[in-house]
Amino acid sequence: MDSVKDLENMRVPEPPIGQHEPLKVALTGAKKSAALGVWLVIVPLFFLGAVVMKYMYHVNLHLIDIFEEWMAHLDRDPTSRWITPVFFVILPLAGLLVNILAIAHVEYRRALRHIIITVRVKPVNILICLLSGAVVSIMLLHALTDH
Amino acid sequence: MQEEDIIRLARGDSRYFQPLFEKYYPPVKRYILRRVIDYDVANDIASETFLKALLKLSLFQWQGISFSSWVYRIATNEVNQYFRRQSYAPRRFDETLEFNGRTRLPAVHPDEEREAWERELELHEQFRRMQGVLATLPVRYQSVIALRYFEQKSIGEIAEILGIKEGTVKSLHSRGLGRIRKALEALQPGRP
Repeated sequence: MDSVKDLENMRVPEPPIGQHEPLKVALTGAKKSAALGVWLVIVPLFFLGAVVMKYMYHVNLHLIDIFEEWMAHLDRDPTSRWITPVFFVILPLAGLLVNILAIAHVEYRRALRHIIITVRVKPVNILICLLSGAVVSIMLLHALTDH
Repeated sequence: MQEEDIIRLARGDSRYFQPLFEKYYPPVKRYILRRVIDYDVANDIASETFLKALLKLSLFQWQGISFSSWVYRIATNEVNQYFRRQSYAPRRFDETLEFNGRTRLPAVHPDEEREAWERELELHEQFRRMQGVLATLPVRYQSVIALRYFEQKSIGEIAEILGIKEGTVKSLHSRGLGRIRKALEALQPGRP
């Protein structure tokens, strides 16, 4: 059996590659988005974690008292009142958006009148989306109940 | 416009990548289909290949390697990763042949291109047999043999695509053929 002759004479399938799938490019890279997302959500996440430790598990770290005093001070001063919403709502929201853009692609197929949303399964990005979403929700809820 | 100019523009604006995508997607996808057979897997690998090509375009240099070879290199690496991820171990050749052609895989989303590929596959029994044997070899032999006989690439082109010396390509080619010969002999009826 001559493998070389068989291979040389072999006909290979020539599949027609027609209406190929459009290149689905996410707007931002997944890894960089995940890294950015971590930085954007780390402060509120730390704060929320410390609050849970103190009020639910009665682990009283002096650090959380300092943090709470600092936030209260920021809220009292009209010139710095904008800082807590930025850290606790705007930045996590930005982290959420950046990570969604990294894994999701939206396409409108006019002929079928379909909107097709594709989400790449990237566990780290999905986790950051969930954490950011949770932080934003908790902070907005807290703001609503406070006022 | 020269390809070099399109690539330079595409580095700054991804819209310019579209002509490169349209030119190279069909041949590269055919290559991937011939290597992995499974239509859905080939689709995923082809998408990943061109996404990586777009994202890494800034790393591509016109130094002894053509853009075509560079894209084929990305595709080959993705295909090899796919085979390695399957925790590939030598299988019985006849089982491989069953998977690769005799059993029709269910089409989750039948479409023209998938059906055309399955029809093509049914008409090329010798290819299915050879691909089944090839898929049992280590990926370094698979890449060389597939590029040589499925894609009709020269030894020089294969060396450029794989980023290895021509001598190494020749060696892998020769050893790969030896393994294929042995595998085909083992498939002969009457052999254990």
